[in-house]
Amino acid sequence: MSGLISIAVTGINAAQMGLMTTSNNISNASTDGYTRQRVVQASNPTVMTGAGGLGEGVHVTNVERLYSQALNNQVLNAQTNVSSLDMYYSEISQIDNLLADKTAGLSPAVQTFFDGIQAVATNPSSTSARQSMVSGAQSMVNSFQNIYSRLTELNNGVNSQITSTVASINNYTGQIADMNQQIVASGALNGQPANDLLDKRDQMVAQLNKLVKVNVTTNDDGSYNVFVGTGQQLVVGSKTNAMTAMASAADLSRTVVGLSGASGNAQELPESLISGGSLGGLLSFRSEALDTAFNQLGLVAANVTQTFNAQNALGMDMLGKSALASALNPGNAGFIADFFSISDPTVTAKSTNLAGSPVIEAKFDAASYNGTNFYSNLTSSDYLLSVDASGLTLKRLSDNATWTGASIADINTAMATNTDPNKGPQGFTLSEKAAGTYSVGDSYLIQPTRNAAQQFSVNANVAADPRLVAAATPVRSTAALTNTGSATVGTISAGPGYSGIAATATYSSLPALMTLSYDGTQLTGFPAGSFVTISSGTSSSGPWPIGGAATPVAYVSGSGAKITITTDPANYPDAMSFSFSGALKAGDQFTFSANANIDAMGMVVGGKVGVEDGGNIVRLGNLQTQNTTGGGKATYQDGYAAFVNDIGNRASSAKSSSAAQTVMLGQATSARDAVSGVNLDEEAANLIKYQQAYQASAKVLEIASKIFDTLLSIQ
Amino acid sequence: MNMRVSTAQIYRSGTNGIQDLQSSLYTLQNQVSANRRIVTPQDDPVGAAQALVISQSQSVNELYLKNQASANTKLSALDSNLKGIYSELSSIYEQGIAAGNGGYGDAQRAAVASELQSRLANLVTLANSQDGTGRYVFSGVQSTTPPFSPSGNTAPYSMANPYMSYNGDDGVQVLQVSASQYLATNEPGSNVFYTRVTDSSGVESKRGVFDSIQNMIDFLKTPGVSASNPTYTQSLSEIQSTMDNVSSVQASVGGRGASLDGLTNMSSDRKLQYKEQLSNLEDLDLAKALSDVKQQTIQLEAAQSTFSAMSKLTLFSYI
Repeated sequence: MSGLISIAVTGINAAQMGLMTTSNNISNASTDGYTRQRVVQASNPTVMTGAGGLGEGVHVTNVERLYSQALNNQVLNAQTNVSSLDMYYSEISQIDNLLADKTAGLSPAVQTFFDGIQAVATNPSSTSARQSMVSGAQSMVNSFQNIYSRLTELNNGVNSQITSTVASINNYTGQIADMNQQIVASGALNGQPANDLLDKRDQMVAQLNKLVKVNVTTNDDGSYNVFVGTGQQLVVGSKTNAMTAMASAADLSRTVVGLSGASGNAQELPESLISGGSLGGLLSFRSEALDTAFNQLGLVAANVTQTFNAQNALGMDMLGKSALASALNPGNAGFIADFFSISDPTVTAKSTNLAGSPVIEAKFDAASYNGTNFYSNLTSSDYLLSVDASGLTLKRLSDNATWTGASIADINTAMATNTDPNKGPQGFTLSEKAAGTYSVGDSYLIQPTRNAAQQFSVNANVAADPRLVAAATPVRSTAALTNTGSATVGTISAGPGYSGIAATATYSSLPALMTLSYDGTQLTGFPAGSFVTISSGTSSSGPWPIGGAATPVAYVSGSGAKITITTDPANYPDAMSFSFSGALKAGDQFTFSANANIDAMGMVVGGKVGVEDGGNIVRLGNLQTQNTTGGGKATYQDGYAAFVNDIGNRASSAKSSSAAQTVMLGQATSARDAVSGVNLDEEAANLIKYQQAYQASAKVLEIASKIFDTLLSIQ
Repeated sequence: MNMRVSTAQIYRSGTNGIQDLQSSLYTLQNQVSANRRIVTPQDDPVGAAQALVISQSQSVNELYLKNQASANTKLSALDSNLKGIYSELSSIYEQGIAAGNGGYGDAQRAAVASELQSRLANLVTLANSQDGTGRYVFSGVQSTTPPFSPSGNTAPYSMANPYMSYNGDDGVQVLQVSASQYLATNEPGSNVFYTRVTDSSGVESKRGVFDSIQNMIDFLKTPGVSASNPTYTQSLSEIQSTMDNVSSVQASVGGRGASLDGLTNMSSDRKLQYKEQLSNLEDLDLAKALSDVKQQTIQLEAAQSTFSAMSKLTLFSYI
């Protein structure tokens, strides 16, 4: 009978523990990271009697946590990807929105500028048309600068987010180490796991994992080790290694992530080691999208600047000033060749370079000329110049193409003369600003276009006086009024080096550069020292060296053949060209001179300036649709469209990956919660179950008591 | 085996479903209110890039249209200038012929000469015409320089000793009117007022019309001259050659105007095409979008009512 009572009591105790566990589950049903618990009951050992074993009731062996490491890991993996993609997406969306604006974006600004150019082409002598072109240029430049400063804000945001994320990571790793210590201590104390501490620690790992993808291993004593990357330790038992946000050695303006080792010195972690979590998302946004955006923006600015300036340099302004006028008299300054200016390429010496290392600088190359238009060879890539035992190596970081040499000059030559079309001129030239001695391990980061848009601006003199826009062709031709042939000189095309022809003129012959006379079969009067090529379709003859004004060059009247004159056929094969349309007759004369009156001292004198000539402004306007970028393969707009496409693609793929990963996260969470989550209906049922068990055991106690009373009443 | 479902899961999947539907409704709403399918490039990266390229072609085409209109204006102005010049020249020519009347005496010829002198002044004024913005029409590209000025030479006048000097040049003002076509919108004075003539002995040479007219005037002022004098007949024939030249220049200007009409038709067609292409790329199919909105609204309502029904189901209501 006393056995009956004690059995009833074990039942009551067990039911009570069941009720308590159930109510704990109910009250934590919506606690983050809570794992449902249940009591595990076992029957007490039986007492052997002659009749066999008699049960001795029940006891609770432990309160079990329904937890699956494998399912939890799935959630962690999916979660870190979702956090990473969400961060990436929210950052890249800002660039995406920046580009989307149809009225304030780059594309309409560029169009406004070219509209202004056409207005000048329609009325070259109208100062108001010129003013509107210059205003268009200024608003275009402002758009570039606005986008640049917006990107800079994003970049600063990335830097400060890295710093704050790293601080949170350290906070979590510190807490995990604390929990490790408490869990080990409580396990040693009572031999039972501390369920709430385990939940809390897993919750910390889950939070940490949202910031950066970590791997967790469990030690024998129940403590966790936490790693990032390929095994870089963040937490080992109760010890932590602090992560730090530090300036990159290669570029002090860039915040990168470092990890302190046992020595306490922070080492820069390669970005490839940090993946997942918002930190991983930030870093890949910066390297894949933001850096590209800076470079692409700068590339458009640099391309426009290089090609536009090169073409502008071949024109003549409304005051009659041109490179030709300056060449005729070096004192005749004031011609503005460079309409735009931009920042030089950025060169950053690695902060660990030795003190005596040279200071490297880079300058943009002049635009190349293909006989029709100027084009630039710049790419949107960054470059790394590094020093090793065998010499210098320049590496293009977008595709790891390299150029090697013993000196900077060798590297420049290697770029300029490379026959591989992919490794030809890159649009910039390196030089040593300050000489020094290279040491193995020195390196320099060269970013040709990254900051180009920052200082993109319109020449201040042109902005103040739009008459200085070089809209006209600098050379004009005049057929003698007495000519009896019908021939006229078509458009005179001035190419690079055209002003060299002025060197052959003498002050006494000014302002004429040359007077060509036709005798029925030959032209004479070309400048002494020049070279003349006659070309028609694909066939050409020359270049014929001109000894003096009497040197004849055969020309067929009415052939329409193109005449090209240069003083330097190797470097400037297209210095100046024109063709005759109509028939020439013997005795016809054509005078070529500066398109403005130039006196015997080479000075532009009043009047007689070809102000209505729009020859050069038409060619400037043509740049919009010509292949001016990527080594002469694409237009400005093509390059920009490819960039918009790239950002749009990245944003849209981040969005769809994020959606896919969110689904995975949902599935993994469901799978985990199927095991570990609290179901209130289930707990309600358990509540009833344990209530009934409690009532039943209590009934047993009551019966035992009644039996006892019955016995007592017998006496 | 049925999956065990935790209470938190039920709420989570309910709210997630509702949020997803709300977010896609929000996107639709943005598209509808902007009436654009591509709100930002990520909505269709390829389409966005294509739209950029097409909108540049569209703007460039607009520029051509604008240039065609400017060219048209300039050419019509030039044409009316040339008409004026032609009619002045033909009056001079008629007067000149009339002066050859055998019945005219010195006094009558002198009277004709003085009228011709004022007509010549008119012609010079026409040759020095300025457009609405004060730019000289016939000085090539030196539009701020009056093309013709008195040389101060003394008679008789020739190319080597001209009555009026030409201060302009052969410069041609061009406008780009299509991707490959450039149109000259002016005619330099050297092309209008100078012409090739052949004298009685068959030698070809160049003459300026001002010289011819002034020489004729000087001739008519001379007492006792005869209409058969070669100076007189030569001058008349030179004036006629110039008239021929002016009308051929006029024809060339008219031809350019006509070619512009064709170009403008083409560019206007192209303008429509670009507009349509852009619209296909960027614009929203409003009917479809609105039906999507309707459909998603219904789904959202269904999700909301399911959620509310699910959340009412609990065993605790019964114990």
